[in-house]
Amino acid sequence: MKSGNSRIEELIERYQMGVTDEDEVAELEQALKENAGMREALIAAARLDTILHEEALNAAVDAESKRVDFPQPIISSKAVFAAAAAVVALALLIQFQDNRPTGPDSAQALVTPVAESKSESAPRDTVARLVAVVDAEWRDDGLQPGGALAIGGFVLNRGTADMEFNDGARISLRGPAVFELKAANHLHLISGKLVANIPDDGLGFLLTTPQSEVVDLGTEFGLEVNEAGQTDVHVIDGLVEVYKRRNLKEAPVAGALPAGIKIAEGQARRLETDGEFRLAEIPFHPRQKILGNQRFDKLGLSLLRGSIRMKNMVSKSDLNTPASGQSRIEVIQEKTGVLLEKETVVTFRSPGNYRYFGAGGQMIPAGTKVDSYLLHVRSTEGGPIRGVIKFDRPIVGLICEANQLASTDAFGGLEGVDFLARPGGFRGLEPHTPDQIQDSSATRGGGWTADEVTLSQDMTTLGLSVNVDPIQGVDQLRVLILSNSSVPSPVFIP
Amino acid sequence: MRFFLRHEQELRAYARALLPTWEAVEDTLQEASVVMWKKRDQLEDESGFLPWAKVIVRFEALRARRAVARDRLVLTEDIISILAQEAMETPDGLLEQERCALQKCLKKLTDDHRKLLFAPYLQEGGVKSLAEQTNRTANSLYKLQGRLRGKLKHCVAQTLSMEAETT
Repeated sequence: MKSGNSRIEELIERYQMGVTDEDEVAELEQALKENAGMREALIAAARLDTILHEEALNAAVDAESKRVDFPQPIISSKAVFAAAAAVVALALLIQFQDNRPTGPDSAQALVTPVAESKSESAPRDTVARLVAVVDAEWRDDGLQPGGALAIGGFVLNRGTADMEFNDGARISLRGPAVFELKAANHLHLISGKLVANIPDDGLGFLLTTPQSEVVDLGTEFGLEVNEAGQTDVHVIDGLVEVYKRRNLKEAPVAGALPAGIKIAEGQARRLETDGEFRLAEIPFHPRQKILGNQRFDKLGLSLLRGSIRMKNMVSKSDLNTPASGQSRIEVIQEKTGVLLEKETVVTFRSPGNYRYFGAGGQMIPAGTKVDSYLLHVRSTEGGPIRGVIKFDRPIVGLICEANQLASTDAFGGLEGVDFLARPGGFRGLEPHTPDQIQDSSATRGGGWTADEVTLSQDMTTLGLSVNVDPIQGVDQLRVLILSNSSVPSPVFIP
Repeated sequence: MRFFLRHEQELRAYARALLPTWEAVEDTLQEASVVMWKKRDQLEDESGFLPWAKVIVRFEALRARRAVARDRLVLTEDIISILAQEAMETPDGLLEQERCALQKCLKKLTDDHRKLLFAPYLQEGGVKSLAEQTNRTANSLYKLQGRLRGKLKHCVAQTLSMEAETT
C-alpha cells in the first residue's frame, strides 16, 4: 500500500505523462487544494520534466551528429588494407550522393547513412541543417557546418550562416541576428537580415517577424527586422505575399487571409506600424547588399564538413603566411566562368579514391567553361586534416600536382596572389607514385603520411585527408567545377 | 528578446507546472514571446524580466488550458491559478542547479535506461515503440520509467544537498 504522499506523487507523474483518468484527476485536484507540499512537488516535477525534455533533445541531436562520419584515414603500409578501406571511404561518399535532397526528409537523409535512415527514428525537432558559415560567431558554441538544427532559438552574433530546411528552403542569415526555428517550414526572425531562397518543393515556407508573416510564392527574397522592430521585404526573384502577424495557431494558409499584400520582383516594402497594416515603398536592395559582401550563397557549395572553411578574402602574401591557430583546409574561390581555350591537363577527372598524385594527368577538353577553387591546407601540427566538400555542380577536374597547379594559376587563380610558397618547397599533394606511399622521405614536405583524395561517383563531392609539414610544405589543390553562372570573380585584396 | 532566450528554460518549466502537455507548453511560450515582444517597452532591465515574463506566460497558459480542456482531463483553473502564484516563488538559479545535478545523475544510469527516460520526449508513443523494439510490454516500461524518474528525483535532491553541505 502506498503512503498518501507517494500516491499523489505518482498521480502527478501520471498527470504529466497524460495517462490519468477522470477519478485520478479529481483525486489529484483535491490533494493539491489541501496540501501545499503536494503543489510544491508538482512544481518541482515540472522542473525535472523540463530538464529531462531538454536533455533528451540534446542527446538526440548529439547522437545525430555523431552518426555523420567522414571518410576515415585510410593510409596503411599494407596495400590490402588500404584498398579495403578505400572502398569504405568511397561508399560513404556515394551514400552522400544517393541521399541528395529530394523531399521533406531529405536533409536528414543527406547526413544519415542509408542503413540507418529507416530503422532509427530521427529526432523529432530537427528541422534544418547548417550548410556552411562565413566568419560566423554564435552565442552558443558547437554549431558546426553540416550539423543538424533543432527547433529553438539561435543568436548569430556576426558573420553569415547558410542553412537548408528539411523541406528544401535555403536561408542565408547575416549577423547580428536573433531567430527561432519553429518547424521544417517556419523560421521566425526576431531581428537581423536574411535572404530566403525557396525551391518548388519548399512552396508554402513561412517566415514570420514580430510584425508580419511572409508567405513565399516560389521565389527569392530578403527580409530585415531592424532595431526599431520594423520589417523590410525585398523581393529579389518571383513574388511574395505579406500579411499582418496573426494568431499562430491558425494554419498559415495564404489564400485564407484577405489582408495579404503582394510584392513583385525588384520591389521592396517596409511594414508601417502606425495602427493600420500598411506597406510603404522603400529602395530595393539586391541579395548582396542585404547579406553584405559575403558571397557564400553564390559559391556553388552545398556542404562543408570537417576541417574545411571558406576563406573570403585573399591578400598577395596570404598563402605564404604560416599557419596559426587551428589546422584547416581553406576554400578560396578563384575565377569564375573561365572558358578553356585549349585542352587542359588535370590530375584527375573521374570518380575514385586517389592516393598518389603523379604528373601524368588527364585532359579536360577545350571549350569547357569552369569555375576555379583553390583548396589551401594550413597545418599547425602536420597530422592529417580531413573534410568533405560538396559542390552544387560537377567537378570537371582536380589539379593536385605542382606543375599542373603552376600552369593553371594563370587562368584559374586570382591575379596578384603569390601562389607558390617557399622556393624549393613542396606544393600540391604527395606522394607522386605508388612506390612512394611506403617511402616516408618522398612525402617529407607534405607531412608524415600520404595525402588522400576521394571523388564521388556523381563528381560533386570531394573527401580529403591531407598531411602537410608546417615547416616545409604547402599542400594545395585546385578544383575546377562546371560553370553556369555569370558571377564576377572575387575581389583581390592587395 | 535576448532576455527571453536567456530565461526560456525557466519560463518553460513555469508553463510546464501549469499545463498537462508539452504541446500546450510550447504553444504557450510561442504566444507569450509574441506578447513580450509587443510589450517590450514596459521592461526596464533584465532584473525585472522573469517576474514580468511569468505573468505573461501565466495568462497565456490559462488560455491554453481552456483549449486543452476541450479534449482532455485537466486540473481546474482555480488550482492552476494557485500553482501559478506559488511557482512564481521558485528561487532564481534553482533550475540551473537542478540541471547540473540531473546531468550527473543521468551519467549513473545505463544507456538503455537513459533511452527509456528520453523516449517520450522524442517521439509520440516513444515508450510504446521502444517496447515493440525490445519485446517488452509497454506497461512494464512505463513502470520502469516511473521508477527511474523517482530514482533521478532522489539523486538530484541528494546531489544538491551534498553540494550545499560542502559550500
